[in-house]
Order: sequence, then C-alpha cells, then structure tokens
Amino acid sequence: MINEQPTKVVQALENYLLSLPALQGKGITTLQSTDSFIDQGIFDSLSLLDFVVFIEKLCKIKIPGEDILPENFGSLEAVMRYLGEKFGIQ
Amino acid sequence: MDRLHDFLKQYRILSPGKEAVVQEEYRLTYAQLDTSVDQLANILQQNGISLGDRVCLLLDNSPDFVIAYLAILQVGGVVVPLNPSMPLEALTHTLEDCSPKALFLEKRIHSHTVNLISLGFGDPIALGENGVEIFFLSSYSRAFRISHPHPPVAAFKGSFFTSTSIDSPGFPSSSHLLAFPNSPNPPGMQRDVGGPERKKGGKSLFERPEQRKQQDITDKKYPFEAPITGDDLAAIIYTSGTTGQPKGVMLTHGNLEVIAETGKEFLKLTPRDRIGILVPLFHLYGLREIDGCLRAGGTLILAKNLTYPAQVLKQFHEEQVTGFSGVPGGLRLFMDRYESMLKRCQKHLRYITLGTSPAPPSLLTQLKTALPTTRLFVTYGLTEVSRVCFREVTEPDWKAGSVGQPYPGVTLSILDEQGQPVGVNKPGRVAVKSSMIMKGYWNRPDLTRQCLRSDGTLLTPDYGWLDSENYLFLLGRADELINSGGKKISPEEIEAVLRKHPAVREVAVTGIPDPAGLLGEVVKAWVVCDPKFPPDPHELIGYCARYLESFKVPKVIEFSDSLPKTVLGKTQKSLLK
Repeated sequence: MINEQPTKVVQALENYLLSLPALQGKGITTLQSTDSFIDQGIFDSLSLLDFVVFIEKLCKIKIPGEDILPENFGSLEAVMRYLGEKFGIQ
Repeated sequence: MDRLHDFLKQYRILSPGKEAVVQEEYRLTYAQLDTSVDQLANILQQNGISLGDRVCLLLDNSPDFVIAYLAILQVGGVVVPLNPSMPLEALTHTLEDCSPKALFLEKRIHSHTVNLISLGFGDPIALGENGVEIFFLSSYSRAFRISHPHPPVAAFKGSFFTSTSIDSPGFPSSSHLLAFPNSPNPPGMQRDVGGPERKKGGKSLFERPEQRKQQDITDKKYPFEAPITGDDLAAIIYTSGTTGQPKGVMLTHGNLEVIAETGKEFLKLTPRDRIGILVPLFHLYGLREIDGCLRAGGTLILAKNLTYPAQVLKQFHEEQVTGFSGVPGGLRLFMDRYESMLKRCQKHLRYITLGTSPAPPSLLTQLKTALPTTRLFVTYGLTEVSRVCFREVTEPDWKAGSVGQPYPGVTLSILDEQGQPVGVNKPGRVAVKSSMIMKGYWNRPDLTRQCLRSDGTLLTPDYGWLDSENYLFLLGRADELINSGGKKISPEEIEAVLRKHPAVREVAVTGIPDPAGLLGEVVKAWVVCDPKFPPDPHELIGYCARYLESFKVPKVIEFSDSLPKTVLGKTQKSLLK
C-alpha cells in the first residue's frame, strides 16, 4: 500500500505528465485534472505503459492490464479515482 | 488493372448489407461505404481535385479515413497520409514538399487551420461542425459543408449516415442514399461555388437550401471515372531518410494493387475475414490492410483508440477479429500486460503477422505457446517495396532469425560493394526486384537514383544473406536510421533540430537499446553545450518536442565536453553507442 501522501501522488503525476514531450512541445505548463489524455494526444500505447509503470513504482502497486482503459487512465482525475477505488489511494 | 473502387462496386451489388468498415458504433456496410465514397469523390471533383493532385489526410484511424482514402483514389488524386499528431513545424515542411490541394484535418487539430492560414497556405474554407475538417487550399478553394438536420451527425462522418442501419426505421430513406450523386438534392448538402462574393471571417460561407446551385450535383458526369492507369501516382508515404527530412515514397495504383493482391493471397483472405487494424493507417503497413481486406470482401475492424491496448483487445474479441498485423513492440506489450485478453481472441484469431522490426525468438515462442492454433508470420518489407519476405513460424527455432522467403513475384539478391551478386550464405546488400517497388522519391530524383537502378532493382538499406533455401537473414542497416518500435527515425533530422538551440554547440544522435526492452531502440542525443548555458535536458527535450513527432524526441540526453571525431572532423558515432 502507498506510503506517500495523496497530495504528493497527485503532484508527482502532474509533474510526470508535464514533462512529457507531447505537452512540452505544445508549451503546456499546467494541466487540469479533467483534461483528456486522448484529446491532448499525450500518450501512445507504449508511453501510456511508461506512465502506468511510473504509478506502480510510485505507489508500490501492480495494475492489471485489463484496467488500463480510458475510463481509468483517460485523465488525471480518472487515474486518481481509479487508484482510490481499487487501491484505497485517496 | 483491377481498381479497388471496382471491387467496392462489385461487393455493393453482391453483399450490400455486409459490414465493410467498423469502429465500435460507427459501422458502414458495403452499400453505405460505396455511397459515402461516391459522395465525397463528387465533392472532391467539384472542388477541383483531379488526376495527380495531392490530398493530405491528417486523420486518426476511423471509417472517415477509409472513405477519404477511397474517394481520393477514385478521382485520381494522390493520397498523402500523415501523422495527425505531427507538430505544425514538421507538417509545414511536408506541405511545402508535396504541395497538396486539400487537407483533411482531424477535429482535435483544427487549431492547425489558423496556423496554416498565417503561414500563407490558404483560407479555411470548409469547417465541419463536429468532425473532420476539409480544407481546400488557395486558389482551389470551394466552400461546402455536409450536415444533416436530424439526427445531427458529424460533418463527413459517413456523410449522411449515422450509426443507424440502412434498413432501420428513422433512417432518412434508402432512396436518398442510393440516388446520390444523381439525386438533384442530396439531403443536407449545401454548397457554394466560391467566387468573389465568398465571405470570410468565420461567418457562414454556405448558401441557404433554396439557393443551392444544382448544376454540379445533378450533372451525371460526377463523380466521373478518372482515367487512371497502373502507372499513375496513387499515394505518397513519408518516411524517415538519412538526409534528415522525411522523404516521400511514391506508390502507383499498380503498386497498390500488387501489394494488396499479394497480401490477400499470402493470408488467404476471404469475405469471412474480419481484419483488425491496430497500427496507424498513415503508415503503409496499416494502409495496405484497407486494400487487401476490401478486395477480399472482408470487414475492417478499426481499433477505436490505439493508446489503450486493453480496449483494442476487448474490441477485437467482441468483433471476432480473424487476423491482424502488429509490430514486435506492440505484441511484446500484449504478452507482458494483456496476455489473458489476447488469449481470449484465440478462438476466432486465424493469423497474426509481425513486421517493421525484427521479432525476437523469445517473443515468437511466447506467442506460439499462448495462441497455439493461430498462424503466426514474420514479415519483412520497407515502404519503398512494401512486401519482400515472409516466414510462417511453425516452430520458433526453425530458421530462427530469418525473415523468410520472398513473396511470389519478388526476386531477391545479395550484392557486394560493386553491385555484383554474391553466393549463398555470403553477406551483402539486400536488393529486390518486384512490381511492388515504388516509382521513386517525391521531388528527390537524386535519392531515387541512389537506390533504384535502371533495371528496376531496388537497393535496400539492409545487409543480409540468403541460405540455400532462399531464406533471408538480416544483419543490419547500411544507414544509421534508428528503429524504435518499428518506426524509422533519422538521427540527422533530430540533430538538425537540436543544432538550432542556442545552448547546443555540437550534437550526435544515435539509437541505444531500449532499457524497457519493448521498442528495440530508443533515441539518445549526445550534446556538447555552449559554456554560457547550463546543461538542461528538460529544456532540450521540450525544444525537440516543438519540432518533432513524439517518437523522435530523445529519451536520453547525455552531456559531454566533446564528441569523438575522425581526422577529417566527422563524428564517430560508432564510439558513442
């Protein structure tokens, strides 16, 4: 189970996302929690997996492949909701 | 020549209600697809698109892509499929190179329109209401839009079609569908013939229905059959080149036909096949699947969102996909994370092909174990010739490492440095003769001469050897292109971008093994900074991202005081790897 404070998780995820080339290339420096990863073109299938692995290491969890869906990983808000419901990370 | 369009017409008659293209709820039968293609072909013709005119597609995988692709081919236009996520700077270069008459833009990149206008590419003429934007350029501009009063549909999303079946209650009426383009008033279409009275500034450019000019639409010459021959240009596919900027591979209608027929024969495609597409259609590796599938009368199943493999596999299972083509990195991802979902597809999955980069034997073993009844093929080709070799993986150790034997109609040879054939089991440059070979590189006769010999032989950038049974084994590339997950990347293109950054004094870009083991190689930049600037990898990565597609942006940047050089001052990249 996670040892991090929830705010630290959110902050770490935000920082990770903002460092991605897809956002940097557009000069995007802030991200709303509801911004769609799909609309922003942030990920392809492999970079999404990098993000998932980052979360797994950060939170010391294992995310099942079948959960890596737009409803769980389509925005920062969706990710936090999923982590909360599945792993108790609020 | 048997045109794809003729097959479409044939299947429209033979099996009009059979699904041709499917993407979740957006489903088109052969009749609907054919009508949509005719409608769009009509629009293209009336807006000045004819034989040899380039039309760029910046579209995600969707039935709209398929409609646009077929319509452009039908009127004799040249399809230029591009990555819709391409940054504007890269897009600008490509547009300048291929000088298209029209663009199709995905909704999410409509912001490009404003930038394109400011760069002098033309006016935004056609703004779809909720979907794909069609942007006719400069003097070829004609205004039009497609809409439907009820139910509202996205512009161009199957034209007048919704997800409603053609026979369902509530659908406008089949007569509307089948009458067009000879119907005097196609429902929902309002067009403007352009001219000096055309308004600007984002206001409606379209006539009210009662003002419609009917002469073009009622004229039975539209859409006329363009007088296409097998030697006419059909597509330009941009691919990374050693010179830095991507180069356009010119493929003729004849090329596309042979590529499709070869694939259809090799995979024994039939109308029962439901072919899943999980690679971008702007690559030839994906694009050729459209031709092969529709020529066979099968059904194309377009994955909705390639970013989410779990969603793709769920869709492939629900749609009972019978085969798909993937890349080793993607299949590795399936096996590592989604094996149980892939296994669920086994009952209906007849084949998988793997191409664009070498497939590790361990991956082939894993796949054969997980899917023992699914036929597994490794393939080798390049955009310039599409299909060269294939091998069915029966036992992973048998001919391990080989990319197989030539397809029918393909002749392979291995040449020494003087261009002379070498014997069996001897290494050399891989050379190919085939009717799938490109016409040349667009606007680059110098590059064409370097690889295409006067006898029609294509000198590939690959080294390899042939065994006594004509199985090809690849050894590496003659150029320095990086292969990252099947995508070819030019180091020079990245170096050119980084050199423009004020902090960069020297730079060398190479491929390094992907630490995650998925992509084969990833991009690494070695940078010598100007002492006035502190080394900042994030700044340089962000800078690259402004000019390059995401997969070309270096994953790793290493700063150094100097780069190793030859006595002539050339950077010795081999010492950097």
